[in-house]
Amino acid sequence: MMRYQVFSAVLLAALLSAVALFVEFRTDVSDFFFQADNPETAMMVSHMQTGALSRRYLLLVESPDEADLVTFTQELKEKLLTLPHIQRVVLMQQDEATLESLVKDYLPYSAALFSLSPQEDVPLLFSQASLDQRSEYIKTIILNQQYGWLQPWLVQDPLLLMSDWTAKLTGLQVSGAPADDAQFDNEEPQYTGLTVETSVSGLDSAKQQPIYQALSESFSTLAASYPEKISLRMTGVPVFAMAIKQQVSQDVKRVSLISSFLMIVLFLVVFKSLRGLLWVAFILISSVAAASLMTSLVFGYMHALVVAIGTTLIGVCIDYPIHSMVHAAASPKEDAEASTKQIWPSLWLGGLTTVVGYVALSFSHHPGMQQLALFAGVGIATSLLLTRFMLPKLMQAHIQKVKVVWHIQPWLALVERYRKPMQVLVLVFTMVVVVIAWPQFMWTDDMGKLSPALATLKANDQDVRAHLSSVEPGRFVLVKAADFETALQRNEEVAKQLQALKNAGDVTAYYSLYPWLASQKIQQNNLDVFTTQLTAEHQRLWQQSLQKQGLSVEKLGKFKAVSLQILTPEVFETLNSQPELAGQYLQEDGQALMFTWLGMHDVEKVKEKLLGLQGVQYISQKDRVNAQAAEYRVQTIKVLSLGSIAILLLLVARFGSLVIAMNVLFPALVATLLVVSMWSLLGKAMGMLHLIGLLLVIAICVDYAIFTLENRAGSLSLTFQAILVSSMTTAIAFLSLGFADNPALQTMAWTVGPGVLLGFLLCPLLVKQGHGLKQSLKRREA
Amino acid sequence: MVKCCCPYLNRLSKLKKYAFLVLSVWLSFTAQAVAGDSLDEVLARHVIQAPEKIIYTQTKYNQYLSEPVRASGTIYIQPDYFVMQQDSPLPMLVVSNHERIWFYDIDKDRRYERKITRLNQKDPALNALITMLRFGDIKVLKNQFDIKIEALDVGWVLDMQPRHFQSKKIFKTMKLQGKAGKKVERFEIISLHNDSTVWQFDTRPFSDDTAEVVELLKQTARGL
Repeated sequence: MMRYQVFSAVLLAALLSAVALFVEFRTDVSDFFFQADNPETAMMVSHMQTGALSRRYLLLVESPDEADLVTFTQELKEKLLTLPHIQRVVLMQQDEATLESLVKDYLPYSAALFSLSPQEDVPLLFSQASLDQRSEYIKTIILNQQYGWLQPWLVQDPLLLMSDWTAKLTGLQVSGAPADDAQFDNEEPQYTGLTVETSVSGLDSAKQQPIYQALSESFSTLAASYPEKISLRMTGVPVFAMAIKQQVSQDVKRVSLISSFLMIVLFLVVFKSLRGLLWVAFILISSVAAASLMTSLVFGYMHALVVAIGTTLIGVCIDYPIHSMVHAAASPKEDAEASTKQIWPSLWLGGLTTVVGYVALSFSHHPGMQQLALFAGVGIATSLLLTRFMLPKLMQAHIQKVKVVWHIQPWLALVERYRKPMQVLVLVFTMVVVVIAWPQFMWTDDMGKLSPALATLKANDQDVRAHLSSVEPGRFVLVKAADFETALQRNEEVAKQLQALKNAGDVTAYYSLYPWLASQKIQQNNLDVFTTQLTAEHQRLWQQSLQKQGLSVEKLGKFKAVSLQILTPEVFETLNSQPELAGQYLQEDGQALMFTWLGMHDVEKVKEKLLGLQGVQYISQKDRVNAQAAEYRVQTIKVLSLGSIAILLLLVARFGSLVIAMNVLFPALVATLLVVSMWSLLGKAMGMLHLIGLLLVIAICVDYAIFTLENRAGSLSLTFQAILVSSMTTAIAFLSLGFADNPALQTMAWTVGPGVLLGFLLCPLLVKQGHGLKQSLKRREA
Repeated sequence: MVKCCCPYLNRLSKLKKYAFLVLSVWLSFTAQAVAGDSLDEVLARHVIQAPEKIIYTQTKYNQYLSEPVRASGTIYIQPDYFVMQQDSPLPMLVVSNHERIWFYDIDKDRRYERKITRLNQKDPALNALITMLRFGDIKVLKNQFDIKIEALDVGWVLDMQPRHFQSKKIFKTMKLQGKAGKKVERFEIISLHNDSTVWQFDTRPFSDDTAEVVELLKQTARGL
């Protein structure tokens, strides 16, 4: 027997090592729910997951003394830039140096980038009123000591076109800076912000953790040197990813601790043997490891949610070894091999019906469900095989020491005595509960509810974003085209429409690639119109305006100084001053994508305005995911129905009777209806995870019904003893999940736990013995 | 419609400009030099003993202006307050204490207010001036400026050149001039591009009536 124990240990070690070495785990929820059905979507999904926005931290720095904030954030910026993996630090309030750098870079192109409607806007520029206003503004600059840095540029840009260009960027000034003069009367905000962009994926928590710590430590060190208390709040994708990882890690620890403790107690009480726990643990861990390896091999990675949910699915697998152990312990000859062989047909049928249910899931296009189906299938198959061919070998030498002390005689006696009235009572009760609960049934496709709660973090995120940025996360306008120039032209159409919406107050802000870069077409249009407008007559009008303001005609009165250059994408890439644009455009695989971020906006009006624009889509990630979830739900219900029919057919094929097959499914049906009613009466909406949980309930209850019906040991008492123990272990395993903070695990806990307990109680009551079963089975097995 | 390249900066600069002028002029009046005095003695004698009333004219010379731009008005200096009432070309009121500055655009009836410390933080030279005015810390001022004093029989000239890059971007030098044993009469700021602003001062008695006027101006600027 020793060699089987050694073999088991080696097998377990090999499987775990292979998992550690070869399985890549992902935690992004979009990997689980979102399937890129075309290259463009794949590009976009990849961009959203690893793009600049996902790699950013938003830092909100607050202090009672606003004077400190200015110098503090400048010093913090310099300090952060020295840290590893920090690519860029952008201050909320752009300083003079940044503006000067912008002016220096963009001055030659201020005419080419002047307007998206040059035919209308450029002639307006040369009206007398506009020229007068412009010269007045130049005088303001000259008289203002603080604009000294702007003066040298006046010679090259006498019409001050640069100010028109930079004015378009005011949308980039994050909220917090006064929007107009009226607000300036108020107290200044006692906060400021920084955007810190890292070079590693925001979802890579292992790499983000040291960056996060370095950011916090840099802040604390610097803040300690200031007299006033300066506080920091951070948000961003990396912050959420780390919090989720931490929460999941805490959940795993807590659940593992509780369930391990309860399992040990259960095994000590029921089997009076810790060795039995080790056997079951060996089978369970080996099954999970084998399932992980196979899933990773087929899909290339494994989602953490599949591991979490899948592992609980394999909880059904512990039923098989427990049944085997209970029967072996009760075997008169203490022959584990023989007793396992005796119940084997029931075990594999139970396993097969479960696998069929999950194989049906794989026909949905839901990437997570497909992984889950394969994971559960491989896990259950491994568990069955180990139960049949390894467990008896491991048990044999010790089975005489394993004694099962729990019995279910009182319940069985009660059922035996009052079977009919109790059946009626249960059915009437179920019908009444279903009728009451049905109107309250709610369904949700909101995948956000599966994310960890993190209420504090979410509130902090909203607050920080409200201070620093008006961008609505997850909503944007996507422009796509076969080439960059066409994408730019389409992007400009979008910018024009959004500007109209902004003017109407339907969009608070939008952040477009224009005016950082414009299509060659619009730039050439600008220059063409400028060329026709830079006439001697307009120059005379301009000189008149200058004279009115007492400005030097000699220095500022010549149009020939106006630069008429086009900014090409190649030159654009070399400019230093385009920090805000990271991740706003993509060009690969013969496709160009451009993103326009949106501030607060009226969704319907934006959609309506963009309707009909070629290659333009309004994207709401949340709506998109939820729409896909709704589609998955329809698919899943369809495949689950087909799966149920397949299970029914399997049972019919096995038992040769539709009545018997229906009877096997009946306890599962009643348990499922009661669990659904429970959720409805609690006022909780059900979703995809509930469906997965219910599938598991059906699988387990069908197993119990098969064991009850076939009663391979020839002793109902022994069979129910096995079901009792296995249902207790399953219930403990699942109800332990109820101690987790993760809503997905909570859902599984409170769906499967009650369902399994109901199935266990209902099987002896609702599964009818007889039916000519023995004759039928003998005939078929023969 | 022409817009400033950054509206926020535009408004901030408007105040910075006045904060800078306010404090520069304040300094020039608080440093009463006497021929033969050392620099330290001149600067150490900055504390205002009594309130002052000064009639001023300001002239801006700039290469982009066809002719100089002039402004005039009255300055009132108290130990804890500075009040500048400009009469022409645009009527405006600037009031400052050591912590805040209030700007009142009389024509537009608009008021702006800022903590002066914030404006100073962005400009170390300005900050040094404030530190010296408030605490008499000459060292800080010397860190920020190369200061030369030329004491003549007829008067004195104080030449202050900023030492740091940030300040050098704003101005090249400041010159304060006065008669021997008298207060500052001329104050000139020369910019990086050799444009300059010249202030001429004429000190008048500060009567009780003047004190009342100053209180009224303070309240007006603050919108009280």
